[in-house]
Amino acid sequence: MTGAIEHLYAEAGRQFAPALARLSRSVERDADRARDLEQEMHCALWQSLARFDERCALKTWVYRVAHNVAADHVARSVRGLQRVPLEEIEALPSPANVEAATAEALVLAQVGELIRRLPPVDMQVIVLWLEGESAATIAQITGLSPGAVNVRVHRIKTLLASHFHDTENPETAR
Amino acid sequence: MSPSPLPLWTAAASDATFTDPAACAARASAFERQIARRNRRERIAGVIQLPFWGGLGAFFLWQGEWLIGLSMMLIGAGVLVVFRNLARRAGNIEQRPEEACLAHLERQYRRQYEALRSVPAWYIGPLLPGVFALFATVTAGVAESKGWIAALEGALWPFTLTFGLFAIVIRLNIVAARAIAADLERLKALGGSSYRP
Repeated sequence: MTGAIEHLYAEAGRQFAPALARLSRSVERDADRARDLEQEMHCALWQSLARFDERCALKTWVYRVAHNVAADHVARSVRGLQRVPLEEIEALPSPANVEAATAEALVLAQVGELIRRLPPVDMQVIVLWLEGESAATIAQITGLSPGAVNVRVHRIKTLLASHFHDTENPETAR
Repeated sequence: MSPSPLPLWTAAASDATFTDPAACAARASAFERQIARRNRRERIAGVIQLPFWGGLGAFFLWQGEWLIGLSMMLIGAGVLVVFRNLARRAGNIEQRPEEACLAHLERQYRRQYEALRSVPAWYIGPLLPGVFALFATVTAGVAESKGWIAALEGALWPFTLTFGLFAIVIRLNIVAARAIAADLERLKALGGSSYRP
């Protein structure tokens, strides 16, 4: 049994370690706490794999564990920040870290800032969509209806598209 | 899985690896030690209550003030019940991180909602018999010497202050529970949950 768990854990690590690192860094701005959250996700996954019965794909299992640990972390640690649902956000927020100098880092910092301002459900959808997951997979992981996922994905696409359009054509920016 | 709509995103942290299982075991032991420390602190806090309220109660009993002594002991017993309820609620958290995210959030919100909504029963309720008994005993004692009107006038402010404080605590918790109930309704609308607060 332990051998099977070790095998599954190693397999999950090969496939999803970067995605979980990105998830923890997107919900937690502080680097040390993000690393701690990432480790918390790994350990929750390690413990949960004893219950893995292959009724869902390993990917679904890993993402569920990771996102639920992230949601618990957000519930525990963030009290002061006012969360705004996706449909009420008009543009990508400015990152708090003014040293995010390069364009790429700035975009990632802005997306991270957006994610941290969202309620958990919207946060889960946007992170999974950024990982390249389909609406059906996102629905399976989160438990949302596919329609609700599509509405959120559409909203994220519009938000990002308008941001990049404005950034590439500053003269058209409002 | 299709390519990320934002390749910058998936390019980040591409060299990340999972934590060694041995580190997870160490982390679990550290967590268990932390829980054990917290439980020990709560037990000590509970044990400190015993000599305080027991001592006060014994003092009044020794002075022949039976009713006041018993009221103090009732308050002490109420405080112990509150500590026990706190420990029981903290220990009842079932860990199932592999459930669908919406179900997990719903369970998290439901637990908070039920804890807040039931504050009168598990937090305020155990203290009431002792506090009522103390007010009744002291007021009746004053009434014997000064009459009921003077006794009730004297008890009015302390009574209003004490029960006003209880009422504020209950009200704040109900308001917070209502906000969580609204969150639960929103979650239900997203995924078709069966839970109704």
